Amino acid sequence: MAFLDIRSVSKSYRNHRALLDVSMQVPKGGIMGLLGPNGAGKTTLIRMINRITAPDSGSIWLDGRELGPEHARRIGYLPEERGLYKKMKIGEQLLYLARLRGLESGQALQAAKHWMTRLEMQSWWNKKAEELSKGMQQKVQLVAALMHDPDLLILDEPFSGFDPVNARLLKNILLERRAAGTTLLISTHRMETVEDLCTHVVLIHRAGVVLSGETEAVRRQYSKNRVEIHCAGAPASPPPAPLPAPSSSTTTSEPNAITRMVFESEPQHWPELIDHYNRNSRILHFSEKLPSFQDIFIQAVGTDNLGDTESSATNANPSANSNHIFR
Amino acid sequence: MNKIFIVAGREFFTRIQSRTFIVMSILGPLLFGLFVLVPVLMAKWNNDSTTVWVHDPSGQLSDAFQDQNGLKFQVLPQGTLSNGVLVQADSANIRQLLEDQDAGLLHLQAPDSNLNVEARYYSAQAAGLKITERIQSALNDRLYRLRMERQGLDPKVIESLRAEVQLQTSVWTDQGSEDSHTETAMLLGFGAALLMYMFIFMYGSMVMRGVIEEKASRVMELLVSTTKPFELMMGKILGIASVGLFQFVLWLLLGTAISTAIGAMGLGTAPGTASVASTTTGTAPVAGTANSLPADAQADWMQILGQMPWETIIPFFLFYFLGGYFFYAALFAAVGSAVDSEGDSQQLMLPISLPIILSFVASQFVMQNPHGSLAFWMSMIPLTSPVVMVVRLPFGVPGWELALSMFLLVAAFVVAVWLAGRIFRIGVLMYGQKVSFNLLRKWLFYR
Repeated sequence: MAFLDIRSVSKSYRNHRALLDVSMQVPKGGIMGLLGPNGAGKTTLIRMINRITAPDSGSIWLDGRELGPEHARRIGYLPEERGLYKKMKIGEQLLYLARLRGLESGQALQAAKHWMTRLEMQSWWNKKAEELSKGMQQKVQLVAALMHDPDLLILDEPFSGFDPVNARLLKNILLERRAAGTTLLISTHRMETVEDLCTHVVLIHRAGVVLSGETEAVRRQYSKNRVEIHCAGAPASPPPAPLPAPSSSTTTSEPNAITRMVFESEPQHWPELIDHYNRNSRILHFSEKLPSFQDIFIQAVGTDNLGDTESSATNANPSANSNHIFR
Repeated sequence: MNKIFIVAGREFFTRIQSRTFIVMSILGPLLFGLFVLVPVLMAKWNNDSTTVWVHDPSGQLSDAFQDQNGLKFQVLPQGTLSNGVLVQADSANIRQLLEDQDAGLLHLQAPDSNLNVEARYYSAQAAGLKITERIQSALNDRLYRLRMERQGLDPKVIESLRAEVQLQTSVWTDQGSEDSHTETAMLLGFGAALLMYMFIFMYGSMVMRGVIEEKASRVMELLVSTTKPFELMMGKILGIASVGLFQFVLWLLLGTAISTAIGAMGLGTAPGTASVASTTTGTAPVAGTANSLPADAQADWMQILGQMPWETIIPFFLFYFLGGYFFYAALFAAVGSAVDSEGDSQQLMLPISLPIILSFVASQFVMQNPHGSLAFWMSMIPLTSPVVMVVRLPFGVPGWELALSMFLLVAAFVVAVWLAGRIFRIGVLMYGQKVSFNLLRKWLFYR
């Protein structure tokens, strides 16, 4: 059964529809990537899971129970709009936020110390937020999201603003949390994050779900049956029909030249392709070329933007931003 | 419920540790002390002692003058003055002497047969009104007596003829009459109103700024995801109220300490009477004078204070003090949640601050007629009742009026919390929208 279960949730604001009949499931221990263009309704969805706003219709279930105030203890949240009290000491802020999540003072103190050590920020306890850089503040907020050891961790653009060292630290922590049974929901525009981390993915566009599923399955679904073959030496003669000629081919300069070729080919022809190049050259590399999420995103969102009639949210108004512009 | 106290605790502890709080806690009593002390000191400096040499050849009038408030009279011996030169002082020039010693010379002709006197006062600079009035009244008084005596009246009889009326005021009650003390009541009412006004403005707007800060720094999103808006708002209001009360207590303690210290230094005396013992300078042996209330007047005042209906004033004052603050703080919180920055809050603050200012201004008229219809209506309307009712309390307010006014204030508070809660819920997550009254109305009534 899904750990986080969102059942046909809709939400409208006065002059624009944020979400229309959105459903999605995240299994326990899964990492869900929440994708979508700006203004698609991701933030609205995240705010609903955090009980900041309520859906107009539909319901959200966590671990078999409909979402209620008691779930504040089990959810950790890193909002996109990062905010701390400027004049308050880091340690005190963390204790305060943890206590609002439902930790006792003693537990909160212990957790704060643990996570500040883990994120290499032990010396920050008495610093005020205004003394820290943006990336440093983000680490503080990350600790605030992790301190109460939540079962569901919701992170809005967690990697933006981190240097590569901290980004790797964060990635390790997230994988570690996942191994410990935490379910993650990550909203992001960075497709590497999705390919790196996410087990599941959902793409929201114009208030509705455009695609969803396990990451690998989605990539296969969008597969164009492309394969890439690298051979040693100059290009060999192209394979005979019905095998396709390479759609692109590049050769590096001598000595030790390598020819890289891409083919658009049905999977049943792949053994023959390999045969052909084994006979005429030496294969160094063979792989199926799955589309990147960059491509998938643009394909899913781009066709819709061209006025595709299969859009699930045809009645949705243009985004709030354009509303503001034309008002 | 628990979270209200967590929020209130943060508000309290972070605020009392802040530099502004510490500075204000120390500066407050000092400023207040200065406020009280400055007029006293000004009066004192104004009393810079002036010596008046009295030249009274007849010797009949010179004992009419008594040293008081820094004005010293020194009677010149007979024959010291001749042709504009002090014989005694080595032929010194009088003008030079007057200027050097900041003194005046009062020359009195001998009274004629009708006891009329020609008097002239010489000084280096034109004489001030204070000096001339004093001299005139002393002379008039003395000549009046001399004339009475000439008519054959005994000086004791003259003294006994002097009339001094002090108007006493009383309240006609069913049980008979009770003494009322209008001036004390006014003083008390005004003090209480000032306190209310300050508390509502200082700490009510602190609630507003707190909400704006959380909104602007975007902490709000994290807070709202863990805590109900109502809990956040109430926690903030309660926490800041405790900060205010704590500061008042600190001020009271520090103020008492300072005034005790000042009293010990001999600069001031009992609280409530602004009195300064004037120091004496100059050559003449003059007894120190003071303009403090006579001891019996002080005792009177204490007695009048003791007669005030404290048992009704204090609990009702506390009720209106807290009730008024809570009511306004909820409104201030609503304003804070509706705007992005303090600058934007001006427009929305107007409908809140106007009634407070109005009630404070009106309280002066209420004091003059504490049972009139202005007083009645303004103590019923919850926006003005906290300040106005507190002004009326020392004058005595009928029970049913109190009950109705308190009921209305509580009802208004509930409505204000509901209203503020609604605006707060929506407002705290709205960024970058210019909030107008129209938009606020929509937030209020939108589903």
